[in-house]
Amino acid sequence: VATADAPALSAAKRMVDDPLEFFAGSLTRIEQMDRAELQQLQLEALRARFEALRDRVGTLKKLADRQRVDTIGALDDVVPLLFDHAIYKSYPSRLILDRNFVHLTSWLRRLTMCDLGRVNAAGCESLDEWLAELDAHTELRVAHTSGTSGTISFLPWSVTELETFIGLLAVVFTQEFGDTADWRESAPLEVLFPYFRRGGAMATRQNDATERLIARGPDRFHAVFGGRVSSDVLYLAARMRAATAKGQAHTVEVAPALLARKDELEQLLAAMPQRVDEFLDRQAHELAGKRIWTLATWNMIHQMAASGLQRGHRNVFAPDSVVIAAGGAKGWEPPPGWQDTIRQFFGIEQLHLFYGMSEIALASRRCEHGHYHLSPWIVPFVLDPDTGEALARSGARTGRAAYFDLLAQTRWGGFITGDEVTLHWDEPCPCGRGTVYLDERIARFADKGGGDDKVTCVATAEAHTEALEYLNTFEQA
Amino acid sequence: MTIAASATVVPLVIRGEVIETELIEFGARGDGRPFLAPDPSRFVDRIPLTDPAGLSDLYALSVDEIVDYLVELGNRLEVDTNPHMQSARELSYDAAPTTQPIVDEQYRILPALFRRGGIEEMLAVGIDRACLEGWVPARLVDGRTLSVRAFGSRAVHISAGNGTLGAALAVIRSALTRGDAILKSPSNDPLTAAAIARTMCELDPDHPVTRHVTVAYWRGGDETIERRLYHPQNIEKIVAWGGFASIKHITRYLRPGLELVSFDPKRSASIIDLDALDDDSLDDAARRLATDIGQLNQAACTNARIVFVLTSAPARVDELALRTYRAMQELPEAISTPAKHGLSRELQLNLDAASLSEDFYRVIGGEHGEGALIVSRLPAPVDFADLLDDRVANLVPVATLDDALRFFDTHTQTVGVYPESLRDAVAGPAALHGAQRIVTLGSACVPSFAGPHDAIEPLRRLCRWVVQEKTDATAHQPGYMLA
Repeated sequence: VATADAPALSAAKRMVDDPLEFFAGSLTRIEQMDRAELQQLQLEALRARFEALRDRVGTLKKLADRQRVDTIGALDDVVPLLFDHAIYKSYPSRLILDRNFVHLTSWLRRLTMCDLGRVNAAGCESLDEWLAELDAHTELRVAHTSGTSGTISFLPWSVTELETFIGLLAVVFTQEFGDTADWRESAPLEVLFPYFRRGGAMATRQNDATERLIARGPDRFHAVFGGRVSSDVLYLAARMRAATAKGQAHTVEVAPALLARKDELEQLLAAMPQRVDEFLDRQAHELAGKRIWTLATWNMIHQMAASGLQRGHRNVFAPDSVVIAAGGAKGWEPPPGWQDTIRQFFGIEQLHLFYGMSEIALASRRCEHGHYHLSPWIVPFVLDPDTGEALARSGARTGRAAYFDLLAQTRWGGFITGDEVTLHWDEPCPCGRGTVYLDERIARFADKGGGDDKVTCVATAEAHTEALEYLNTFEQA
Repeated sequence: MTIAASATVVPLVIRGEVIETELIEFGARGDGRPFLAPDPSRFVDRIPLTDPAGLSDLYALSVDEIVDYLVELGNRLEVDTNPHMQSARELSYDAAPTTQPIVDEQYRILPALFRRGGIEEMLAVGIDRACLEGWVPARLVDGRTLSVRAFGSRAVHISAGNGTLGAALAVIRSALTRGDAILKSPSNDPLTAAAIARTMCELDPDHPVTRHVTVAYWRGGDETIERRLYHPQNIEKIVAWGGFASIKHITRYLRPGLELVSFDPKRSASIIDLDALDDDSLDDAARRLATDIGQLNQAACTNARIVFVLTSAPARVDELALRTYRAMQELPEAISTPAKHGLSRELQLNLDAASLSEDFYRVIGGEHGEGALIVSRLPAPVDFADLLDDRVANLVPVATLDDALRFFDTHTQTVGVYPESLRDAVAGPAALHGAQRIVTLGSACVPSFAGPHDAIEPLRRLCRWVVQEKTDATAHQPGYMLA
């Protein structure tokens, strides 16, 4: 046993520290690991991450001390230490309004092992400046959420973690199961991106790595807008919407300079359909017949495809182009036939459906049998929705999804989602892939339990969320 | 459909008649058991008083006679002797957000609302009683006599179910103003209104007050019911408590002739001048604050959630929080208990996250549903203030009163102040920032119903104010005489 442990540990480390090399750039290898061996590697890798991060990520240390967790004996031992979305926005939002980026930096320091010693936050006057300062002087490429509730989360990805993730994303989505090629030796793709080239949100954060690893050069990266979308402006817009929903719009404090930039952005977004049209006309001409890559939310891709078809562009790109529709566009009901619209415009044989989230390196691809497969570097858990306890890792289990992202080296990879999933632990998928998988139906717990006809005199968060959704619908109409 | 024999029946009561047929099941989601009620679509045409002159029987009664009726009704609502109220209480054990001892206390105190003293106070403070009795004349400078009288209206009342008093208040207010009330029960208290109406039928099924109370359950937002009911031919007013979810489907029916009286969702705060307190008064403040946070397990809009602490010594805020936490644990169980089902997941997550951010927050308690106090280090409430519930409050140190008032808005209902010397400085500015009720700390959750409510005068708003103008040709010449 003693001799068997040592190579297992090193294989585990290789799998999570350099997965592209470990899997030789092959989706088939990713999907063909022996279950028992994988479980052992995952446990070893999880232990290694825990040992490396436990006392060096301040928030994790505090949680682990409180929960009295010092060792990881089994995978489920990590469940009490999984982070949730509240952790990534546990700073007082006042800090941003007061431009107190020194405090915000010390808050962030407790979530990452990366060295923030060279950051001069005292000189930052805006979120944009703070993010630029972090980019310039740390390994971090902090991604933030959209802040629809009025508060934004900050996710401390490192530049290496983002690159590893994008490389694996490319392997998973550009290859077919059964291929034996090494993705690293494949040709570059033309990348279409229907939004801003740069920005602080995860979708835009990925673009540097996408440009380097998938487009392999700026000439093959085509964004509708070449510039950067301001995080301050996005946050302001989210705050104003949230405050309006609460009837507190008058309380939103806005620097006049920022308000002017918000107007600019709104004009830009109003011009968006026209810019997309111009963009499509140009790319349909210049990239006709080429193999392209595009990853965006399904509504953005659909909007792009519908405009393209309307302008007479059909079957524009190579049939093996990689078009990936990510979910999560809140409140957007896909119109009937939306997938056909996309297929017809791009001229692709298959539209890829993607399940993932900004917090972790989850890049799950729906197989031809409608299952979302979970890659080996992700340790999944299904939690009892009421108690939060892990359900047995066998059979088919329905509950709250949680994941441990073994690729996270500088931050804690454990994350509890708001998703209700059904995970199949044992039954092999007819597609032949060897990994565990989720049923196609993935629901948000937050969407459940509404409309219960209870009436209360208390101003609750639910009441405001409903008002906010109403506002959003109104603005989109 | 199979119907569980044990399922509670929520009767439909239409103007003195109790109906328990054509039952269908309504599933209370989350908390609460499913219950049975008459299929509202079968009876919807009988629910409204379509002829407005049908209110005339109420004008055969004097206000005193109406008060006598209500007082007698109150006597019969004692839960120890009234089986209908006992059933309502039983159902509330499941459906209510609070625990059994608190529900028991709510039902115990409900008849007190009907005591003569309280009702007379409503008439004295809340409306001009003479206008209910008859025409009240005034002589104007141009010589005419203007006489005003308050007439009742036909109204649907959609009351909050997070306490038991809503249904009782609707009955009292409608009766005093000689209105016709249709009470739509909420799923979190499906039976109290019906129990009161049933008791009225037993008291006197033919009494005009009994004949102008209807209690029904339908699913809020059910278009097949509401489209037929919410029309100016049927009703003049909708008195609706609750938030966006319960209001938004009502607004589509509003039109000239149909008015919405909205008791919006509210939250409440406290302001404590810590620098003015010595050790004894700090104790007193902590006990009072614990009551305002803990009463009804913080299920009411009147409960303190954000506590602004005026101080130049932020370290003392921790002491106030600790003492308040201890005092909260000692509250009598009829007033407050640990949470019914622990904290909501979202609140617990945010509370736990705050407790890991010690640079910004100190969290006292909150580990097993017993309640918690979050002390902010910065002068701003927690970002999850809207989630505060089940005895979790946030103490926010502020240097000046203005630093607290900036967080007030139209949703801020009650403001508890301590010590009393602070009141004058708070009242006017707080009102201008949106607050609606300034109280002595410790009494936030025992409101008087005599005065305005949420900056509205409910009795006056329920009335149709009719005016007679009598001109005297010697003093005021009509237009034709000018020709």
